[in-house]
Amino acid sequence: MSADYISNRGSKPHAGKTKRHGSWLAKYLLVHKLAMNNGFERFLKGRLGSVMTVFVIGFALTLPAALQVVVKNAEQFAPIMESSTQITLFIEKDVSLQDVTTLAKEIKLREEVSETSFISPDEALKEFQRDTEIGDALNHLSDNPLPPVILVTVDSQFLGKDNINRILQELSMLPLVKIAQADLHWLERLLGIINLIKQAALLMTIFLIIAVIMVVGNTIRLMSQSYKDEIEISKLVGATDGFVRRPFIYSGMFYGFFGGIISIIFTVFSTSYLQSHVANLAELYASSFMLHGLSFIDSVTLIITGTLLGFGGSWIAVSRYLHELNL
Amino acid sequence: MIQFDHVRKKYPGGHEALKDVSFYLSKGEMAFLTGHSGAGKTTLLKLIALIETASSGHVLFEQQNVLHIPLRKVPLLRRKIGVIFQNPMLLGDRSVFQNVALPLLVSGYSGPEISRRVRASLDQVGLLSREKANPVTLSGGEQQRVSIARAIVSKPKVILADEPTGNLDPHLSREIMDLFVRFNSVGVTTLIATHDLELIKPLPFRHLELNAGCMNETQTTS
Repeated sequence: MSADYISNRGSKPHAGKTKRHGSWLAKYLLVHKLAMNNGFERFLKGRLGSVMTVFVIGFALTLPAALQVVVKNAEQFAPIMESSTQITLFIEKDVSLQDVTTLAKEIKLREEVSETSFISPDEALKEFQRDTEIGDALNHLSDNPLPPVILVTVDSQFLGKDNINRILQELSMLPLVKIAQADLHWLERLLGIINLIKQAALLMTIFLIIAVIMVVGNTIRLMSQSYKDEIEISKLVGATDGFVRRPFIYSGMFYGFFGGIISIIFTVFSTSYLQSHVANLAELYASSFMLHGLSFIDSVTLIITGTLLGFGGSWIAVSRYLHELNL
Repeated sequence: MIQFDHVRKKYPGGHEALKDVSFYLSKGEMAFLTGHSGAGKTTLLKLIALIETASSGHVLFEQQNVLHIPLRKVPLLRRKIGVIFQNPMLLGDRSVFQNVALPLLVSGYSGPEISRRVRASLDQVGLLSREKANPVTLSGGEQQRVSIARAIVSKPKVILADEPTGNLDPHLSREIMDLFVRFNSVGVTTLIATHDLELIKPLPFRHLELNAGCMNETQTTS
């Protein structure tokens, strides 16, 4: 072949490219496929370093994931506190027994209510006399001072402070009802604790997200330094920053992706380890409480989060490196 | 093609590599950039490929002031220029073929087009049989030829070479020079920095002499 070769500009790069790749999309996909392969290769080349980074990300993601599981289970635990969501209705004194029983039945028809029971003034008096020492004193009263009472158990779907308060409001408006009362303290405390854990989980999640970005960033930074020659030569022969950056970003995404998978494994392992202990505890309470692990959606979220954090961390690291290189 | 107009380059730290450089290189011309070491030859070449930027004055490439090229368009400029360094700058973890293919990869070529062009380019420098070799197993002269193949693979309009024969014996140096002459004969604008005056004496091309960072060659264009 003669030197004519390099003068043969009949097929200029751009003119030729459209013909070869057909469409812009095909070219785009090809560029990304190559960068992805390249990124995966670099990820594998990291060997032990890559494994360690993946595990660090895995651990970091496991903590918020585990807290999420705790919160979810605690919220699930709330309905078990059913006794705390009983509403006591004190009825006007001079209402007939007949009317009160009808009212109790009517209330039971409401969708928020799972059960009602009626305590007549006589029953209440007997119970009172049995349980307290001043019971005898009541014998000296000419009249039974106790009002009829309806106990309303709220359906477990309608728990939560706001719901209970609303139901309380509605029931207290009913004719015949004098006072409606609920002991919300238990529920409030439980919800308060759950909320506290949630806030802690949020805070920890933010910290650990920053940590993951930094871990990926640091790894990609070291990686890009070890590819210094390649980056420099590529830039000298006309590579765009994007071309240089892309494989590293894919490497970073692989770190995050595998870190996410590791964190799922850790979380599933921890929940199944705790499951037997929870089962023992639940048995003591004669409850069928089951520990709920990560759902499918949670797992997918973990992987996506890991991948996105890998993307962010590597983007920052490579962009900074390219900026410093200033080629 | 390439024009320098009172170009000055001062590095941070105070070293003034180029004081006042003016010259013009027309399309398809070949010239040698001479001057002793430290005269600023490398700096001058770097200004053309925008590896460095001038402190003052104008550097024009195809009538365009390179300083006005936005950062994201710099790669497009570099794709028009084949650069060869004294050190071949090959990647030791890849084959000769992959090294030569790099400029095509960065420009978005793929598959058969890459193979065709890389082979044609390696054939030009007489290394087609070594395409699978690792560059570190090649001799100095062969490595430099690989880097030349890499510089011409994307059919650049301009070849810039910085002491391409610096590490080679006279016989190999002449071979490399002959390659450049051949490329130039098909219309590639070529600028070669060298301090080896013996080597270029028999060649009928203009000498642009850098003297302590100064040059004024605007009047002599061929």
